[in-house]
Amino acid sequence: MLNFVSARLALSYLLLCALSCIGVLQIQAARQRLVGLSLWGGRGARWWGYAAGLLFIIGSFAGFYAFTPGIFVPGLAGSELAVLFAAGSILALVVTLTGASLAAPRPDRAAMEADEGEVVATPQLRGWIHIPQGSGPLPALCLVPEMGSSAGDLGMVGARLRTLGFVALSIDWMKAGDPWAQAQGTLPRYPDALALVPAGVNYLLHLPEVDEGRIGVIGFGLGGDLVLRAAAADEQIAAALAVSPCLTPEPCDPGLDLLRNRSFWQAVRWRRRRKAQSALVEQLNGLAFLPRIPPRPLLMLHPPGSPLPVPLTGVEIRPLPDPQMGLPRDQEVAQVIGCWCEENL
Amino acid sequence: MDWDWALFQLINGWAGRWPLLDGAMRLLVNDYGLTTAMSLGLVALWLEGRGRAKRERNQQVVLMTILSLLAANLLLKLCNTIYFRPRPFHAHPVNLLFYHPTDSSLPSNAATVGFALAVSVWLRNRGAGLGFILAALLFGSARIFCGVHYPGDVLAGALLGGGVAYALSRQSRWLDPLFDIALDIARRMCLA
Repeated sequence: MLNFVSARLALSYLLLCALSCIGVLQIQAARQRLVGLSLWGGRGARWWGYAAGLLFIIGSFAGFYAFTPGIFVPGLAGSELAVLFAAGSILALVVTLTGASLAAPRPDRAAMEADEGEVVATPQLRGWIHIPQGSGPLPALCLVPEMGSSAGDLGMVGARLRTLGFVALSIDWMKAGDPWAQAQGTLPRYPDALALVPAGVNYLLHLPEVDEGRIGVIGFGLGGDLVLRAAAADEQIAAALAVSPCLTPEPCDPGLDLLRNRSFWQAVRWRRRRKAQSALVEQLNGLAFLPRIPPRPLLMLHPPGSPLPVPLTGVEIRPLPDPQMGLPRDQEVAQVIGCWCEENL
Repeated sequence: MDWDWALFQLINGWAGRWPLLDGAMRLLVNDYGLTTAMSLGLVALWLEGRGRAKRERNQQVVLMTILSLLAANLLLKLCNTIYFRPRPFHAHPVNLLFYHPTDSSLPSNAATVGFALAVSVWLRNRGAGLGFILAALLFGSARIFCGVHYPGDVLAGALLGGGVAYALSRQSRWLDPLFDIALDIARRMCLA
């Protein structure tokens, strides 16, 4: 049986473990760039994380030795220490994950709205379009976000492509005229989802500014699977880029890497969404349609940590610029997309 | 064991001469400082590693270390039930800087735990393991300096803890699949 000797000693030790553990988590959050564990949302220089972590560790030990009587008399034994350390670590983890969720950077709504461009709403699609100044014909791109994300999330990429002289149409997964999807508040199912990219390409083809022979498609996550399917079926698509496509129903679980750019609760939601979309991934079967894509510029940005399910031919594969998920708000990802589009469209 | 007593006198003879050294040794010898620091090292190791493969290796080290600690503690309890060696201060006049522990002197609990942890880490991660071995050596030496263990106790504890860690590391064929299951569960919780 456990014997904690005195409640004060046990509580003091629990506090020491919890606080020093928070310190270690802060140092590692700074070292490994884990926003989901950082109590200040990963903002600022890394040494802030190291300094705060050391402060937690040194402060907790100093406080324990200074204010706890009975340290140098018979006290807690090994099993009690182990139990209290485990409890303190769990407490530290809960406090850190909750604190980091509150401190996690929120998307800059004002900047996103400024980037959003003009609204597009037709019976076939809903989204945002960025049209550059000047006369055409111009190359154009149809962008599909991750499943569950909105076209507004692609505002930064769209705005960047506009500055490079591209017409950029970002489409929503939920169609404007789809009463079933609107009533359910859900996303299109197979095979309805297959109509999304063709609808976007068709919209671009009817714009007077657009050069019909220079239309490309870009997709993020499951949106990447959609553009691969579209590129295999539509001859008018001149180039396709898939950022971190799912390809298989059970993709490699990113685990802790999810906390690199999102809070714990955002990561939990991401996982839940990923699970929900696995049926659609299987039905889309982007992997099987890759060989059917006619020869044309085709790029896949793939997270370096997760191996591809099979060796792929006929497609250029590059690692994602940062070992994070291919978030469309990532500046480096946007830069790679911009450069590749300039070279290939 | 004459060598044991002679070596004990040599190390414990330094105690009580310099208050600063005594204070430092008291900080090292108590049950809270180094054990907590080494456990915190394991928490840090869990998150260490740029890239999934490296991190996973470190996480397996942590799981193996926890298992080694459990096994070493079980063997320690068994040793304590079948053999009792009185503490140095029971048989000799010593410079005692710590309280009077009542359990068996051999093998040293501190050395068993410290070396089980340190060797377990060192076998799979030499860089981090070196730090842990240094901490275990300090922990064991402080116990002799403060008069609560003979050097032989610490040596026996180191052999016991290190031996258990080594023996378990040879069973990775059986243990790694179990660790994979544990890591998979942790990964589902975004914690591995």
